[in-house]
Amino acid sequence: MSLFAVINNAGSALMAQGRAIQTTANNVSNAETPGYARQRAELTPMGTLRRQGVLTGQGVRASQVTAAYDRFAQGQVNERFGEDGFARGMAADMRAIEVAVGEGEVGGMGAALSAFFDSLSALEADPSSPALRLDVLSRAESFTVSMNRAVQSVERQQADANERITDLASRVSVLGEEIAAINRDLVELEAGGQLAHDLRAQRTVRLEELATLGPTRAETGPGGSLTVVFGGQTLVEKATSRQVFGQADPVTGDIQVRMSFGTTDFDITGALGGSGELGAALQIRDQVAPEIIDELDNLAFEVANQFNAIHSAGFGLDGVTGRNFFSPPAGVAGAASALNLDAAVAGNPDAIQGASTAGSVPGGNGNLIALGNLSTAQTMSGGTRSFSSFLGQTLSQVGSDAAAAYADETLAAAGLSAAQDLRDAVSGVSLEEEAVDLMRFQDAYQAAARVMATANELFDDLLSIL
Amino acid sequence: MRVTAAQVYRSQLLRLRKRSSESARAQEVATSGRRLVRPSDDPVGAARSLRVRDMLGDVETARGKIASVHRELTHEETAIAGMTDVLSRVKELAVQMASPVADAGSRAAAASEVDGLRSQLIALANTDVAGRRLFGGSQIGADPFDAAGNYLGDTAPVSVEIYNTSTVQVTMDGSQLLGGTGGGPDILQVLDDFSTALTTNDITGVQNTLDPLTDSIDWVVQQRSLIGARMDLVERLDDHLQDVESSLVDERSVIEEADVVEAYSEVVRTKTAFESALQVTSAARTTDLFQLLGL
Repeated sequence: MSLFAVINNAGSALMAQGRAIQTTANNVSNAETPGYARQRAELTPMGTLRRQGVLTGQGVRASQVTAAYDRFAQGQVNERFGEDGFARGMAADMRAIEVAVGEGEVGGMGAALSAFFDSLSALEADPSSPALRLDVLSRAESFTVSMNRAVQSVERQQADANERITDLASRVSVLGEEIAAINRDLVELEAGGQLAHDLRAQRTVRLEELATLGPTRAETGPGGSLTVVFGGQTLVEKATSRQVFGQADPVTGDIQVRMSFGTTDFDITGALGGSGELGAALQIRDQVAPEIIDELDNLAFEVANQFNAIHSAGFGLDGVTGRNFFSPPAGVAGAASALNLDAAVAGNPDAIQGASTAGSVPGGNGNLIALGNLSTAQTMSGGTRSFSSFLGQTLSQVGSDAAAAYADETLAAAGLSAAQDLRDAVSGVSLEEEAVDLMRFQDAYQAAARVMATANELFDDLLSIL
Repeated sequence: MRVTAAQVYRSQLLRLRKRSSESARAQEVATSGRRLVRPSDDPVGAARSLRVRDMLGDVETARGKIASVHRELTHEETAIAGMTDVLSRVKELAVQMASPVADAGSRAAAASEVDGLRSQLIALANTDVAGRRLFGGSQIGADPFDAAGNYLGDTAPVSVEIYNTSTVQVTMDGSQLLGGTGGGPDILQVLDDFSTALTTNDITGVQNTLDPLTDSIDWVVQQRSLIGARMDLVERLDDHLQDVESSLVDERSVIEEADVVEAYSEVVRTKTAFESALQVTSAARTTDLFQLLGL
């Protein structure tokens, strides 16, 4: 037995356990650090030596610190981040949209439409009353204003989503650059065979943020560099990344997401649907908002035209005929935001053409009855719905879309949390486990120190004999 | 499965967020008293609420119209009742003056009374309610009869449609009522003839007005009963609409309004749930192995 060998052996144990304690300490410190994967000191026995025909171990060493990084679980997390970003984006916009078109406590378009027709119906009983005529005009105006306001709010939300696309696209670009920079440093650092865990953690954080923006896939390549595919196109490869930016379509004004490719660039907007905040902004801009705007435009167009057709055939208190009540809409598109009273009628209550013949002025109300009947006439949706019921259907549609978006938001958050739980079950830091490890390594350290002390005593005993 | 600190905090955070949004929603319902604030609260209810409010508006407007129609019909009835009285007095005079006992002097006096009664009849036909003439067809703005008894109105009486179902005639064609164009006697002409007969002391002429005067009274009474029938119709419609209105108000409150007791207990429930989630969070925070071992 070589006492020196024993001392060396115990010394290696002290160093190895010390390294293990250090790793544990690092884990505890980073228990809450985003992207951090739990690390573990790999203890391997040192080579054995044959001494006097006996194979003896030389001790232990901490050969490498590994990270418990589960690529599959992280892939799942990235995907869930995309769903979560999409659902949060949709829910945020739907909240604003449903308030814009909803009736609320004080009443919106529906209440205004109904009050307008009620005022017409009241005028029937006394067609020459100036007060009732003024009431019809003011109800009509509050209906047009509430239509304008609702559709403009939705349009503003749509424009907002459009502008957000530019910001999000440039954020994608920045994240791509950062990941490329980390790739470069990481490949250099890890060339020695050691893993640069802190850089990997930072890269994971950026990858997760990228995933909340749009459809992201990542693949670890040779040397530890990460290849990132965004919207079906390679965004980062090794130390280079491509520029992503928003650019207005020259015709429609809609922002396109474009990716640079050498000296040219191309449109990747089509590949961004359904995932991440970009997907949500596109969905709001291209589908949800246009649908609502279209329905409101249809309603305004039909109300104005059908009302005008009947109104212009009647006679006002002043005996004049042929005037429109609403300004005739130029077309379905834009009808809701342009809806207003015709200049011939606005501010001129006598111009309401309530009598059906010139002779029946002022008491005649035949045309008012015909106008009032429009409120229940089934003229919308191919003759199956009245104005009010058409609006009700639109509201109901917006309401269920919003409710679905909120449910998705909760569901996506839970899905993300579950995926993170699964990943953390492998990669996360469990304080209990670290506490146990700490005790384990401390005991081992103390035992090794004890061995060292014993060897020292043996050495002293030996020296005292001499 | 390994349970990590981050996992524990995340699930606590999710749960706290859920509990606190439940609690906020319950408070919103309880303080506003409404369960339907946004369309997403109840998408089907949102459309139903719009429909019910629309119908409620129709009913309220219809009842307002009924009130105004009823007021005008009442005035019409009163005016026609006055006409009946006037005609009864004329007939009384005719009976007296048809008697051979009456002399030329009393007939002349009666003639001037008949002329006065005729003016009274015209004044009654020119009755207005807040400026609306009731016996001029659509011509509600000007008196339907001039002093000479010429009819200036038209033959298109105004009708009002109530609640999309019943059409009620409101104004009357005065020429039908007093001018003999509607199948009845030309009452004004009858009075003229009577007056002329009295002035000329023509006893046969006076006697000849007795039958037309009786017909006139019958005609006016008949017209009055028509108005009574219209009033009856709108009163019954109003009763019906009152029932409809109260059932719609009920329906609206079922769709939109929160049950106060339920809302309050929901506030308490969600508040308790939120507080216990908070307590669990702080309890979980104190138990990990490090603290247990005093490391």
